[in-house]
Amino acid sequence: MNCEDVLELLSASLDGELSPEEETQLQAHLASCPRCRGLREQLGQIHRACGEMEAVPPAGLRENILKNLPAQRGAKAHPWRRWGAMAAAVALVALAAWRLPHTLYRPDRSSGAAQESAVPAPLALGPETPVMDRARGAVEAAPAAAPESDAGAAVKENAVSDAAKSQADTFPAPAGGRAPVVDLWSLGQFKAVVTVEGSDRSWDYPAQLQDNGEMWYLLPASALDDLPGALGLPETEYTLRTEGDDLDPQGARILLVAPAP
Amino acid sequence: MTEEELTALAARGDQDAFAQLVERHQGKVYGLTLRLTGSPEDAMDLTQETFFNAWRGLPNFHAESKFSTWLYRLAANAAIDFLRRERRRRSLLTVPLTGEDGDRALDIPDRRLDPQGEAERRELQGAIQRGLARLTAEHREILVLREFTGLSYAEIAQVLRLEEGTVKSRIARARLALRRALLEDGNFSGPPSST
Repeated sequence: MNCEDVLELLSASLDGELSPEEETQLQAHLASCPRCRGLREQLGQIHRACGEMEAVPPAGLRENILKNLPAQRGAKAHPWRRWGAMAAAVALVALAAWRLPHTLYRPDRSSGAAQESAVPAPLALGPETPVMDRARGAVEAAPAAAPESDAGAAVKENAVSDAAKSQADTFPAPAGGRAPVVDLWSLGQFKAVVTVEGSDRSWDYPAQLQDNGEMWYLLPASALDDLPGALGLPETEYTLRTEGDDLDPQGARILLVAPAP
Repeated sequence: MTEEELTALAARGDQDAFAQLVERHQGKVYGLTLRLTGSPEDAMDLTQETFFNAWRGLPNFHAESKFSTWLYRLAANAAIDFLRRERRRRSLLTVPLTGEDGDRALDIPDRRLDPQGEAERRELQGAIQRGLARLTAEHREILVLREFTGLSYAEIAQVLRLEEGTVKSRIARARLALRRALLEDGNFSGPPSST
């Protein structure tokens, strides 16, 4: 056994992760190799020093953690609705497929000119993050489309980009009813990303991109106000976390990421 | 109360039960995020974020692993995501040692002292924190998980979603890299070695 192979055994022996056979092999090598003995001493010294570096949390950390939890899993806070985790009881219920009425997604502003201004031109994306790269991919992948005319699932001109005006598909509900978790965090130009995990919803809203088992949709932020009601769940809550307080609930647009069917 | 009972209660909204879980695990979560970021402020934020995520995610936690393993995965992911978003290199020299702020007066250890003496120990700890900063993110993550949360190789494999063999070899490499950083730092004498 050469010294290169022994390194892993040395390291694992510090962690108590060696089998008896490996321990024997290690000892046999060390008996005749001063270099590895020296290495074990040094690594052992570092290991013991790490063990003594106990980080003491600052006083009040626990209180800070607890006071920031939703008071109950039903509480809502201002200005953004704080949506707590879905109640466990709901998670166990097999949720039927539903369709978000298109009327939810009208912007709060009056129709017409306001909608024009709400439509982003080329979406200049903000600071780079991994999620931003995906958003950029979503924007680039979405073709510009003519205004759709499918009355049944009409998504009128609204604060969503041109690509969203392609035909409004409905998507069958994904299997599995894990409780949705809704995250909202800033995404530069988009202002927010909403992720709904484990949803077995179908979205009456055109997808921008399907990637890695996810569907991406552009929604006006105002749609979030109606999301709980639209989901048809009584005491439902979602945790809505925002990065920063500068998100305009009316004007912001949201990239909604949902599991693909 | 067992951890299973606490997590079950907390999953149903019992904040007192959750508070006990926080009490039990905040030290490790804080330590983990502190050693990963080198910043007490960021560690506090990340600890809060971790427990926030845990509170929200508990209804989905069905004891596929130990609660602590699940929690540390949340913490590690939060810290890793945070570090990736941070563009600037942060100085890792600000971490107080063993809870004592500011007492870093001893720059040059007196080598006549007992090697086990307090001064040398604290010097080494400071060097280790500096050395951690110089590791690759991969090495730092895995070494911090091993040394500062007490997770086993199997648990680390779960947290980082790696094969156990990879965990074993990567920890060994990380230790070697940290040793090299310490030797270059100049404050690590240790026993003589041929390299």
